[in-house]
Amino acid sequence: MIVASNLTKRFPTSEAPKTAVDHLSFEVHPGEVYGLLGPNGAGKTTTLRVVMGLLKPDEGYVTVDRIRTDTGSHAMLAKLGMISTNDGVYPWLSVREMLAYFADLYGLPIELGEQRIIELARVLGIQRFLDQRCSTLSTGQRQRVILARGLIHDPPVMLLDEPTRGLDIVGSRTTFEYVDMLRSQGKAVLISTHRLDEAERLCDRFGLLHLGRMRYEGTLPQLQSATGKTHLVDMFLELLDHQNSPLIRSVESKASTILSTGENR
Amino acid sequence: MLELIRSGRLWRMCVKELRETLRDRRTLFTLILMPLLVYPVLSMALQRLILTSHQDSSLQNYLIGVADEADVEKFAATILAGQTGVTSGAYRALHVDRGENGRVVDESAKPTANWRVVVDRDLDAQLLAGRFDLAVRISDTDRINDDGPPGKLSIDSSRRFDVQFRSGDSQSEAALHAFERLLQSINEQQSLQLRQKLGLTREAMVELSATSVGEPLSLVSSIAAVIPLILLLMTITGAVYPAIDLTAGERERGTMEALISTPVPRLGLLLSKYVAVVTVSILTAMVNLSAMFVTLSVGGLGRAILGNDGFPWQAILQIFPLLVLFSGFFSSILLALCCVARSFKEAQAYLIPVMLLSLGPGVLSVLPGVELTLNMAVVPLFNMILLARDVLAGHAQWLPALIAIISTMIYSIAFMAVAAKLFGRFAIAQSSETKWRVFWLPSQDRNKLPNPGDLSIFLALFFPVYFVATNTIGVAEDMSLANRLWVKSGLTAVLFLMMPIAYAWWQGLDLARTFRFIGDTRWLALLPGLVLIACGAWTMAHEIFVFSEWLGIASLRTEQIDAAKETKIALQRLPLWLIWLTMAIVPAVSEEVFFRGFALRCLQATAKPGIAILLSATLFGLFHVFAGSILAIERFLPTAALGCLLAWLAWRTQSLLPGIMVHAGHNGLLFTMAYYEESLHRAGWGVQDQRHLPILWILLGIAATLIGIGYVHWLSKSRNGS
Repeated sequence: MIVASNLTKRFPTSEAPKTAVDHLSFEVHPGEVYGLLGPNGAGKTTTLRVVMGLLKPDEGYVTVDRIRTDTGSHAMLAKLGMISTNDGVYPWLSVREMLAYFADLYGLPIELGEQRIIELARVLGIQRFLDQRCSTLSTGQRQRVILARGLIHDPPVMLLDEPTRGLDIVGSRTTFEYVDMLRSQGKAVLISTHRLDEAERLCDRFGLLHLGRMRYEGTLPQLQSATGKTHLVDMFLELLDHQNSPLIRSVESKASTILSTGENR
Repeated sequence: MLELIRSGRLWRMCVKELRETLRDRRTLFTLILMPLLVYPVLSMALQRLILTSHQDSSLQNYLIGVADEADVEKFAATILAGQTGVTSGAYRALHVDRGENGRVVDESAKPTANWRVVVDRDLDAQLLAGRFDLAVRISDTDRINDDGPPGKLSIDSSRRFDVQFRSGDSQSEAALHAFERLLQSINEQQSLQLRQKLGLTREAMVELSATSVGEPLSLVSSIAAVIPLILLLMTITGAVYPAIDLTAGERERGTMEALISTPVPRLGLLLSKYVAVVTVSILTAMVNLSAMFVTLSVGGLGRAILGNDGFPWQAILQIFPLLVLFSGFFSSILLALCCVARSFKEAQAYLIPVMLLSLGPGVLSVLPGVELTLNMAVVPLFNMILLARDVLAGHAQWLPALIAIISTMIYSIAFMAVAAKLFGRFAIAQSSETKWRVFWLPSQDRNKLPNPGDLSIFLALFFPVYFVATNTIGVAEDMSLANRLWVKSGLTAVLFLMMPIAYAWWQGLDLARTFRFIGDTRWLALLPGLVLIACGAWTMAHEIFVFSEWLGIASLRTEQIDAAKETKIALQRLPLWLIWLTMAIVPAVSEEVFFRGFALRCLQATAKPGIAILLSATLFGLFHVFAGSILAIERFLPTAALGCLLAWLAWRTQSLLPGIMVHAGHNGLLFTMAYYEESLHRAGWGVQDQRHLPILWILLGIAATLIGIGYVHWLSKSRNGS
């Protein structure tokens, strides 16, 4: 469903251009949850934005259902849904109004849009506050509303950028359950996260990114046999150990922090 | 975009943006509360200002403190002496009011000041306390004639006034100056009486006679000129908050990425926001206009500022469309700027300088002597304020008004095109430095083709330059005709040839595909058809011109037509090659590059070929209507018809060369015929005194054109296989 081939993205800076994603290739199939893992600055979010067509790659390409994302094709955009931790809501609109607005933007007929809102509200447990102003929602409620917004058009491909950041245990569990449901519905799901423990629970396959490059890709058993380590965190540190540079060592230290706290500080 | 409109989605998007904006209390505050507060407060301030100004010029009250009753008599006598002996109207009008004892006045004179005198022993302390304006102590010396009423001043007497005033107090200082003038008049009177006693019949040694010319500029008329400025500025304040909230606000609250990830054209998203911003701005304009109308009507301030008719309600109907136009213009600027910003704070940082900058031309435009000339009519903001001022004063001229309206509309569309290019572009975090570099530096992507947005932006840059340049050349009468031709053709090349190419390079457009300079056409094979079109088309253009005049679509005045005839005769004294070069070849190359290269290509990006051809031809026609300060509406139809033909050639052959050849041939042929007009006339080919061409010529022209078109159509069809 998603094919990234030799993907490279550089950002101009006042000095030399900074390479955020460096010749990255991977595929995500229908019914599969693929985790793009790595510390902050690894290039995960940039990769997702290239997949969304928000950024144009400098080299390589991404296709979604065989449509290149750099064309800005509306047919391609209609197949994608994206949820990000940084996503917000319209404070002066009610939840129902906002969801109806996005349903309309995705070209859903009004009646179908209303049906989808009721359906998603039931699944995500947001019926109670459908007619509340978005500004009155709690963090967890807002996250569920954002999930509903990303799924309003029932896209075959979902992109989740750090979906559990800032959520409490209940909120995170809702997200996990929802990712499971997406998998069972046969959707291709691409998740970017630096929470390696969560990724273990959520993803079928993993791509370990560091400094924009794919360091390792495979299923958990494949990774375990290749590294001799049981957990992703250990594997990640093992992989980083091979890169014996001061920069890598600092990343390692950062990864340890993540391991010990479970949260990026 | 069309699908968005047809499905009603655009309407629903606009409703959502409006709903969101109008639910925000901050918008409501700017929309309703601000006008309700501002106008009464302004009204009070203006009333105070006007009253003060009226008092300055007509009737001022001064309170004088004296030490005893005797001084009251002396003071009153002095005032009377001043008013009886002075020839100047200002002093003849002096009054005396002695407290509650009634006035000592000359009722026949127009009053300019009232002097009230009060007695107080403690003059210094009371003056300092501000109880009166001047403290006056009077002492008489060398009194020769002691007859007559007490205190009376005679020619033989000498009276000394020791006056104390409060330094820096304008009222006290004004009283002092008025009193000085009064005493000066008494001395003048004494001097006159002495001259008469001495039998001197000659006039005074020096005499001044001053006469005013022109209309007096009163404070009140300046205030009237400020009204449109206040209205316009208040109108844009309504647009500021929604513009920020609907663009930078999307980024700040984290809804931008979700929004631009939807399968909706960015222009559509932006258009819905634009409609919301303009609507709020127009609502603000309506509230402001109503608040101003009520304030001026109810308080009587309208009559004070605008004369007995006050604020005419018809003026509201005239000014309101201008406010709508201005709202559209400023909203597009605000949106374009806010699209660059990533937060409220950043947007405010961009908008504040713009608002302050817009105050500059706003204030300048209300200065006396600033008129809405043709050149000023293309200066954004100036033009709208000056036009609103002229409309309110009832002396707006339609040609500058038309130019002002057209140019403002072009600027609005251009800013919207800029906004559409920028909207969402900076949604992804970039540093400010790289952001601006990306914006200003030429694009690195060299494969793009232009779209209507590029045409709008280009026209906004191009139109004022074109208009001012052609207008300036038009009024440079001391320039010889040959030089004028050189300058004009050079200007045509710069404007129509170099500017589009420079713009295309800056925007990273694919130059070869945009301009289709040569294309894949074997133009030599097309030559017979092109020659036929060039030879035949002018006859049809001429007949359409005559038809336009017959329809009454004509704006050239007799003297302008006579001037054109004189120019035609003067051209016959120049070498023919110069005429061909400057009036046929250079315009043909330049105009084809712009109209059939750049403009047609921009329009083709979204419109069907037929529509694009019509629109580019309309543009071609409009540009030929405005020839500097001359408006020639009758040129529109023939030029637009020729534009259709040339655009069709460019589209059909995918090349500019055929159009250039036909255009140059058409122009050259016309000027050659004009050049040899007399010879042709002698040979029996002249049409000097006829409006219509001979029917045979018309038929031949139509036949040649049709055959030429058929030939080009057939040749390019067989070649393209389409």
